[in-house]
Amino acid sequence: METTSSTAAGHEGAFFDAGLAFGRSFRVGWGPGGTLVHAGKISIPNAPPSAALSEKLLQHHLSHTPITPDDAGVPLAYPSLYPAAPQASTSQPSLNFSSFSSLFPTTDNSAAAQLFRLGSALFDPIDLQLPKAAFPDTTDVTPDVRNRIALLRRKAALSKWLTNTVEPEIQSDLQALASSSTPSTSSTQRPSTSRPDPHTASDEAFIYLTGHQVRKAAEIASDAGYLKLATLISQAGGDAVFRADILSQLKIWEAEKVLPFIEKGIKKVYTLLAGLLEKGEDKDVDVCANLDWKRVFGLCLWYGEPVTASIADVFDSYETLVKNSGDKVARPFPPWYDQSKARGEAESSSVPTWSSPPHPQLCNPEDPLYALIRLHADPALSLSHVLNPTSFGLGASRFDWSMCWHMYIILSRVMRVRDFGDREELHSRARSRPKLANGFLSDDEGEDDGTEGHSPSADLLASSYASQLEAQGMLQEAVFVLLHIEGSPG
Amino acid sequence: MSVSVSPELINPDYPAARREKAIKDLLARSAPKIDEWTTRGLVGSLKIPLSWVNEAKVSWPLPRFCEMTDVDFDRRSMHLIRAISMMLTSYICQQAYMALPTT
Repeated sequence: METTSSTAAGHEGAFFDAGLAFGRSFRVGWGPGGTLVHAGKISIPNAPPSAALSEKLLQHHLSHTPITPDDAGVPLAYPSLYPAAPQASTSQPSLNFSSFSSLFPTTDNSAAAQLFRLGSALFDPIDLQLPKAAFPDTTDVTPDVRNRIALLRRKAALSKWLTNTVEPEIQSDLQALASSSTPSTSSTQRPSTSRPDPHTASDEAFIYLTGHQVRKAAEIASDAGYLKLATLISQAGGDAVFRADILSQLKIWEAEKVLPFIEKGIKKVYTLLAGLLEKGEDKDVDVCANLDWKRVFGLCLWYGEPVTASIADVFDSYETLVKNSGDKVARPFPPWYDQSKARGEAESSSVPTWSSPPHPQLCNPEDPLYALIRLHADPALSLSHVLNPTSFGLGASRFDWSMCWHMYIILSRVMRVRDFGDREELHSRARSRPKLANGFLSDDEGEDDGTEGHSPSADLLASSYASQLEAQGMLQEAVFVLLHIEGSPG
Repeated sequence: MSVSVSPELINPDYPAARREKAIKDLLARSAPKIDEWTTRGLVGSLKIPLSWVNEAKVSWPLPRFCEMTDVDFDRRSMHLIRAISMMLTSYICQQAYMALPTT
């Protein structure tokens, strides 16, 4: 169209329509060096979840899952520990978290790898390393002692996983500390006003302690001349007497009003060793400040609760800490979730947009790692509260059903430790199923004589995952997932 | 063309064979992609009856619709309709899952 024939010709200065006047000025265009110039935010199309990951997990699942016709002659996929599968091979290896985590190299710190490793620590059968009894059918250990040992072994497994998981963040914090401030060379050197905030070995020791690297923390303290501190650090996570002693030392310092003259790092280490995780009156001593939820949870696990506390106790301790702190302590949001941005948007926008989350679950996404810990800590919790596809996804509008479905299969179908809340119980046909109680295989033949009913949530989860695979062009994988749909005539 | 969202998937009280219907619907939607290699995987590894695969190939809804109405869809239109069908399926499943009570 000719410029002269445009209705805007001769009216370029008419500012009553800014869109007309400045439309071309603020259009999206290409700048020098291939830079995309734009005035607003670029909308990135939803990237599909990793098809390669789904393929790898489903291939592993298929290799451990027999497919046999059910009573109606329709093929049905039975995960391994499902003994009611007709003609199921008894030699099928177990399809547990450990078998899935072995698919990932040890250097792989992806979300899926971490999730399977955590599941292995929390739910897989665990070796109690008990001495063998003199006779095969007898045991020298009473059930109470056995349960106590199982609790401690399980907690040790979680501690090991958490230590490995937060290690990269420890290194990152140490690098940030080294680059942000000048190190103080001597333990006797005090912070001066001319050199703002020099960090000392006690600061580094504290960072190591937040990742449960007690040996490194003690080494770095002793190398820098903090011999008494190193001695105390080596007893980190000690008994109640040790904590009471550290606490009394802090009170003495407070009573003598010498706290302002003590290094910030030393105060934080003492506070941590005393198990005081909540913020006190001294603003310098906030041991949970600038730590993500995993490290705060670790502080509760390693220093806040006694050695004999269970994972459920640690979980309650962390929940209480978060609740009492307001928004000061890190909440377990998924990695993609920008807490400050979400809070700002919630405060600024009162009018719902088309992209508003349609369900309350979407408003409070939770880190899937934390959801798994919560599932272990609360035996009454059903999978309906935990398997939120938003948490497992890559963003608020990027659902990922793959990990949800695999978690459901392992926890519900294979290990039978937890299920959806809407599964019906049928009692028409007696059929005993083995269960994993606290990681141990048990056959509750007398108690569980009912055939499991249908779960709409489970079928919808499978259908959703199959739709995702279909959209990714993975037809055979989608069919395999649909083979797990339980609803069958009769 | 029918959107292939089976009512069984979102209605838990429907007593029909949900699994069979869901797989057959998926095969029907994906019929153009089912080549010999895929057929071998479906029948060999996944134990899907060959009759289901053949049924999907011959009863793909779009060619039948075109045949009945004598409408000549070009290839792009067919892909577009299939994509919309797939998106609708995915969306309805997601909404139904999220709407379930968390009990």
